[in-house]
Amino acid sequence: MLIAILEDDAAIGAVTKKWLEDAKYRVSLFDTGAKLLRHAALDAFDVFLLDWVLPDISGLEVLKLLKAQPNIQAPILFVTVRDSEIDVVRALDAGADDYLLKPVRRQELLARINAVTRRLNRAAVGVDEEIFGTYRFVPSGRQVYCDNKSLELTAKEFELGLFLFKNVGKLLSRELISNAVWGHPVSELSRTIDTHMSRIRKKLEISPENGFRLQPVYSAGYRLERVNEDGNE
Amino acid sequence: MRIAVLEDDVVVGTAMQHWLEAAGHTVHNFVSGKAIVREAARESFDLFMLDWHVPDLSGEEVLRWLREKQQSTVPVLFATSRDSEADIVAALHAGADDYMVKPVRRLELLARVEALLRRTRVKQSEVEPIVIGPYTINLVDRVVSLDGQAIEMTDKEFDLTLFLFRNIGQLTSRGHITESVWGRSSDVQSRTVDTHVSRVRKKLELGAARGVRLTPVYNFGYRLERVNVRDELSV
Repeated sequence: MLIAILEDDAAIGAVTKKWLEDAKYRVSLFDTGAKLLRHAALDAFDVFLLDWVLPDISGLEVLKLLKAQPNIQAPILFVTVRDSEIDVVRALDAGADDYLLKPVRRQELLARINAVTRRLNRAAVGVDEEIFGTYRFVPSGRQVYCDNKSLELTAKEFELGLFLFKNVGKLLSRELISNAVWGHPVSELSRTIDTHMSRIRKKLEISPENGFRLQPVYSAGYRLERVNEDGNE
Repeated sequence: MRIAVLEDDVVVGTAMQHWLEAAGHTVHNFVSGKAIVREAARESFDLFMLDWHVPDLSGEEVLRWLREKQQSTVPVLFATSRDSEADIVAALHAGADDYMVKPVRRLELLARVEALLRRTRVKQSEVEPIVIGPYTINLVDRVVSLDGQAIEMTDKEFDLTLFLFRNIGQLTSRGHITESVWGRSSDVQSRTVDTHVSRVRKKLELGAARGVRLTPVYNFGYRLERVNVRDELSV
């Protein structure tokens, strides 16, 4: 995630940048509103942290200019010494997502950035259900149904199952599967994928009667296949 | 918006209720953790405001119950006298969306509530049309169309449609529907709600074929949900 900091006090800017980088964020630090606005149009920032009082245009003006650009949707947090209620209200009403007072505390800053971005990810989830023949996946509740019968899966099994069904008919390499489901390559020698596959086949009752077949493909990976009612592909 | 407030200090709770109601919200006050959990198990809200120190269950336990047990994504705002950084971080990590330290200032509270509703998409534009699948809801003319064809509706049916589409993906209780469509003081019977829902479902042809389905939830209410049907599978 890429975070833009607008802060004209070099010492505070450097500390904030360090905190965020230690938390594995990438950071661009700007000391004037004009510089930030020039980059905001090109770089895809995920979060903006704005100070209010600056040498050129104020943080509030920057906020309004950012909000006026329809392609910029990233959350905006104010970090400022201005503590009057009317200022907090002006910033929030103008579209800020949160407002923190200086001196800001490290863990609180990180937790608030996390809270704001978590919200956006949640709101972006669009589809509530995925239907594949007799199977129905409900990602929000991690539930799977086969012919309306509820099936119990762990979180990993759910992800793997949904991944297979979304890619029905395709040959999926082990590498692709492990990256998509585990987020990193699983060692060639590891039995993790095979174990999960066999559990999923059992738990989801994947069989021609239910319209699907899960095929291991020697030395390549796996393929989930659709089966017609007469048993042919 | 329908807001549940957990606050055991009646004076503070009443003040917050007045502030929020003057800003156009409806407020349900609770003085203990168990009371709010009992109600939230059978009713939905647009936002929760939680105090930390309350009788029986703490605000933090209520938050965990909402997020873990109920799998709820409803926005939660903490308002408490606990101001240590560790507490703020704990509440935010447990799933709170914002955290205010008491004493809470009226205008700041209202602005934070608005910011939170806006951020969580509960509060949406009053003029921009809502487009979901083949449906378009024009808020200015109050017309719903399906594949570009306007659908005849009564006022209440339109309000109900709008409420359901704004809450797509969320469980909405009968009480929440009634309050939003007919108003809080109305004594609409739950059968009336069901009749309107069934008329809306028929008129809009809601179902998997249209990509949007309306599911009744036993003893609770309804959930409008988006459905992906993989057509290439039904060979």
